[in-house]
Amino acid sequence: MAKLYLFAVGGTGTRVLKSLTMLLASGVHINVDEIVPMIIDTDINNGDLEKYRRIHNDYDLIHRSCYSDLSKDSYNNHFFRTKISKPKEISISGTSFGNLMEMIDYNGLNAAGNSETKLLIDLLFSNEVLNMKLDKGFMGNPNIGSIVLKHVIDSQGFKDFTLDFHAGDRIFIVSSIFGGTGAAGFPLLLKLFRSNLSNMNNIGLINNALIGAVTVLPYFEVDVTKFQSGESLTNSDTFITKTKAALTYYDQHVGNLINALYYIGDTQKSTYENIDGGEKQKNPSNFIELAAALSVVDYMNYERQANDVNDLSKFTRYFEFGIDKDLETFNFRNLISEHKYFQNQLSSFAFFSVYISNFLKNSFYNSNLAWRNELKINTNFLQSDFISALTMFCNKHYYNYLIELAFNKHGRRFVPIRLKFKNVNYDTVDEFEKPVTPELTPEALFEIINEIPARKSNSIFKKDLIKFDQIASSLAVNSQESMNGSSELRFIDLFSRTVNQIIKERF
Amino acid sequence: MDLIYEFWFEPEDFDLFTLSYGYMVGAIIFLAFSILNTVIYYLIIGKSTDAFSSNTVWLIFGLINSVLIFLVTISVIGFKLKENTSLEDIDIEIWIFSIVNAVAYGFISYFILSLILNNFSTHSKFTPFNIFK
Repeated sequence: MAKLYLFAVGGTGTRVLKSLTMLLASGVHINVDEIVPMIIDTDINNGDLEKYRRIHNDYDLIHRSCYSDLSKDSYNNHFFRTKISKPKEISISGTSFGNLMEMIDYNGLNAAGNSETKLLIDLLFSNEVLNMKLDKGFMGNPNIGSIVLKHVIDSQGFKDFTLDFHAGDRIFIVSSIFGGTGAAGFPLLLKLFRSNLSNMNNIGLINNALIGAVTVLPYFEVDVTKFQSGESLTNSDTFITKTKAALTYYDQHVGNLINALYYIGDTQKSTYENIDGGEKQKNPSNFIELAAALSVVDYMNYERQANDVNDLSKFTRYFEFGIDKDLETFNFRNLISEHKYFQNQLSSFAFFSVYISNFLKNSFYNSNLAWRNELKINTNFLQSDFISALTMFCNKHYYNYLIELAFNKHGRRFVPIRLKFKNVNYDTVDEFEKPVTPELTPEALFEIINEIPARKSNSIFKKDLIKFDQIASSLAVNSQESMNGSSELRFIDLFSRTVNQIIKERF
Repeated sequence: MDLIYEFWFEPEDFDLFTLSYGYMVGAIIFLAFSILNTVIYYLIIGKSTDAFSSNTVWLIFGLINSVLIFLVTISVIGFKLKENTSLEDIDIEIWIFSIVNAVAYGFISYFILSLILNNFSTHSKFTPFNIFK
């Protein structure tokens, strides 16, 4: 049972994890039995993390209802197929340290013999930084992160990880290079994993494990006036400088430790509000994060047979990602042909979500419906926790995600799916509080995939329509595949195949 | 009731051949039309679309089946077999025979055939209900 330990460091790490969860919900196959997210963030109350916790809860309930105790190779490319464990939040909570001054016992440096150290600290850290509360991340200051994050090794979550680690398991680190937590956390973690001086459990296995990482180059800016006025400690004007410095450091100290390093960045920058962590920090999902999530899938296909570094044909490889055209608003048409698979899966999931929001309820009240009877699902199913979680995931989290990707203040808006919602503002990051139903006509169903209309075969005698229930019934009646497992699995299995057939026939 | 009783059980004005022949023709008519209608409903329409897979449409098909059986029965028995030339000439017994053939036997056969043939349908497999699932 190979696992992937996915270290999501800082805010970007959490948001990449969210994109990965969306990919896996849409049935993208990843060559691993289980993903164990390890979230490293001192700001445990930040809005992005809280949002991800809710997304994961719903994903996990759906996955467990369907695929518990099933072998890895069954039901590939089905929605919610991959197990994502409950994220281990490695809580090196800033609240327990207070601020940097307390953490390093700055006042203790006044003692005789410490004056040189104190001067060095004064040189490296300003008074604002020394007094900055650490419970909201490091606000773009990796020099603080590199000190605080050393305590990661003492956390229970990290100890659990080292105890659980088995031969064949892999590690992947997601971080940004330009912020505070991620920029400091990535090289620090990497050194920790490769150090044979550490007294970690399973140190031999971890030392030789395959380690990959995606490092996200600057892709957003924040309002610098807040920094200039002293309201915030985050200054996005320094992101590029920090990135250059970090890249130089990586060149010298990371290349010989990592096995697969993915670089991702964008010249078009998004503009976000300057919020110093906490529950208000909810940055909208960005295509960059989705592309970074694709690197996790790619990494698990990299040297598939390799169990540890000794099996690799080359110790380190570097990867990049690109789109077809440099457009400010783009969609599936602008992805290269290698990404056709992701396009199909994401399109399938969009159709599935539309079915859940716009058609499922009515279908359940049709007692003659063949697929429902064939699957032996009764109307109580509609009130089950499974359907509640599915509705929350598809009609709240996923629709919110699509809207976030198309956020107007993104430097590059990704608009792959065209759905019309009431009261949506693409200039703010207000999210739906509960599941929503898009406004949809039968004709609009053909136009859901932006700029890639579905094939239509109207005639004077017959108007062509996309009929979910009809296709589902044909599949349910004509094959016995849907008859195995729990009713939840039968439902997901049938509709995974139904929307895949729609995609195959219409696109 | 007396008329029906007489027609089916004590026919005085029909000879035995005409009577059994009439029964046979009536049976062939309701069976043929019920089979035809259920085949169209379940095996032709019911395999290609779910647009007609509802109890209401099934009932409408049943009513059409009965009407067709009635029309054909009255035409064949009343005009052809009994050699009447106008509706006024047709005996009340033939009218009642046609109605019973259509409403009772026609609909019952349609119902029974539905429960058998719906198993071979795709979208109408559970219309009106399925006794095997």
